[in-house]
Amino acid sequence: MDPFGTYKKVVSARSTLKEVLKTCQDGGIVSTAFIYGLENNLLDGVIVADNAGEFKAIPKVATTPEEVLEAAGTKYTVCPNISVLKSAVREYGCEKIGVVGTPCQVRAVRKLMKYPVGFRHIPDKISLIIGIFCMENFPYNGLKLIVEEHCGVKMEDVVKMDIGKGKFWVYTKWGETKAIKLKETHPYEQVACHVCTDYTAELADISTGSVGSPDGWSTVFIRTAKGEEIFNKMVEDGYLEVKPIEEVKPGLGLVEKLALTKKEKNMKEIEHRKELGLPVPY
Amino acid sequence: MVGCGHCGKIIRSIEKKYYDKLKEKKIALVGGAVNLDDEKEVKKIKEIRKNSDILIAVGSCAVSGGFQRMLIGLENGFPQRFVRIGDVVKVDYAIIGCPPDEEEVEKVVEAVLNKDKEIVDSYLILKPYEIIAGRPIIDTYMKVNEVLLTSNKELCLGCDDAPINYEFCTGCGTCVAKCPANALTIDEKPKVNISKCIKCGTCFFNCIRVKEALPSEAR
Ligand SMILES: Cc1cc2nc3c(=O)[nH]c(=O)nc-3n(C[C@H](O)[C@H](O)[C@H](O)COP(=O)(O)OP(=O)(O)OC[C@H]3O[C@@H](n4cnc5c(N)ncnc54)[C@H](O)[C@@H]3O)c2cc1C
Ligand code: SF4
Ligand code: SF4
Ligand code: SF4
Repeated sequence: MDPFGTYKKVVSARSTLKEVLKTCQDGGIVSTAFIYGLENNLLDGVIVADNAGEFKAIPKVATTPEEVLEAAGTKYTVCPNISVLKSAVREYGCEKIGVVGTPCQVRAVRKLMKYPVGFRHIPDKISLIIGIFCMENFPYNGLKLIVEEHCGVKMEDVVKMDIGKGKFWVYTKWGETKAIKLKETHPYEQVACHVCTDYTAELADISTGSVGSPDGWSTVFIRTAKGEEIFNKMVEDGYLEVKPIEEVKPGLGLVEKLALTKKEKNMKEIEHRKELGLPVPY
Repeated sequence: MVGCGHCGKIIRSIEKKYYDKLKEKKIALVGGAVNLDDEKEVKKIKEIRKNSDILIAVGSCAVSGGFQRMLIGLENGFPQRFVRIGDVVKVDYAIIGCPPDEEEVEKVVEAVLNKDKEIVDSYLILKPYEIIAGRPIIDTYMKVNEVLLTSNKELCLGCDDAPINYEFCTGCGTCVAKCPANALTIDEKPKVNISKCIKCGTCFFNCIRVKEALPSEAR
């Protein structure tokens, strides 16, 4: 099984922008790319997941670096980013749009570019698709239960959540850190994620996630010519620091292991559903 | 068949352009929903099927019944039921949209025409249109619930409450952006405002959980 899909290059990278490093999830690749794009006129609007308060996520069309910064950081809950794509064009008048999304959302963008029914002239306005790795997602109610019941932290006190090293971590504004075994969160996963076989956003221009790189750094797959162009420019202009993936720990092997775990587990679920005569994605 | 006429216009313009080729390959393009209670119409669609090797349904009325499904009414004292063409005869490819995109219809027609020559490419392009054609959409994305369009349960073809079974929905939001009638809202999962929905099926067709031929040429 092919773990990653097509890509040109994979590296470990980190932003050099201080204001990004303050609020971003990992190496700040997504926010830096969007800020770079907006500042250099490569993009004129980006679709991000804003924090609507207490880590409830809502999609937002950001047109300034400040708005990008406000939406930095991972919200471990469903955020229908693609739903505002039409309004980015029709209401915000954007012509060069950047989109960030989980692998399923990246697939959605590629699909709607290929079959533009009801969407005339919108596909050519999508300039950059950034995918973030994703093992699973949680409905907001589930996330709230994980944080409040299992971690014992009030949602309003949380400043950051993270998944790593087999644990779900919560950081509070009082400087506390709580962690529970990832296993405890499984019952709250979105059911639809159990038939998803994409871990590294295989159809994005650039995909990024924390796994494989040291803390504060990101693993980055550069997949398309478009992605390569903007990534190289960012490095040349000093927006990103880069290290060869072979030189960092834990390295690509771990990404591969997780990608294959997701594929195998969820392919099995699809087969299992077929055997039981349950519906599977068409 | 029964429709607003817009699809008919698109079909005519494409038929004009590809007249000889369509005739040679026995390809028929049909738009509009079938009025089950109009014997002549049912006969006509069966005849079209008999005389063609490939039947392409064009537009939402033809593919899913479209907004015609809401026109369950009486004519001359008799009930009329409008269904998708696929409920009456086999459809090979179905192009959704209310209205569909003329360029897209052309793309499908070209792919069908070139199917033997550029096998892999055409296959990829055509796959989703084939999937939609093969399934009674009414079954998969529309379920009959207690809210009926008419008070007559027998006549009702079912109300819709979601583009796709929530069990599969990832909450990506594509359907919401695509809906031509602004009938969908989303928090985590899309909800259909039944009084706005024109039953075009665009949301269903575009859902990523409806297997797509994903582009390798996107790179
Ligand atoms: C549900 C989920 C599961 C994840 N699982 C993994 C995993 O298993 N392994 C791994 O390595 N990485 C995973 N990630 C990705 C990781 O948490 C970081 O988002 C990624 O490394 C980008 O970090 P950054 O510092 O480059 O981005 P930042 O600069 O912090 O920007 C992150 C961007 O993502 C957007 N975003 C945040 N939440 C969402 C959301 N729910 N939906 C859509 N967009 C969003 C933000 O608006 C922001 O623009 C997951 C992310 C999500 C949302
Ligand atoms: S696991 Fe798959 S379906 Fe679920 S949010 Fe992630 S990419 Fe989407
Ligand atoms: S919800 Fe919108 S896209 Fe879906 S069938 Fe109704 S009108 Fe069409
Ligand atoms: S397109 Fe499909 S998966 Fe995405 S929100 Fe709509 S129904 Fe859910």
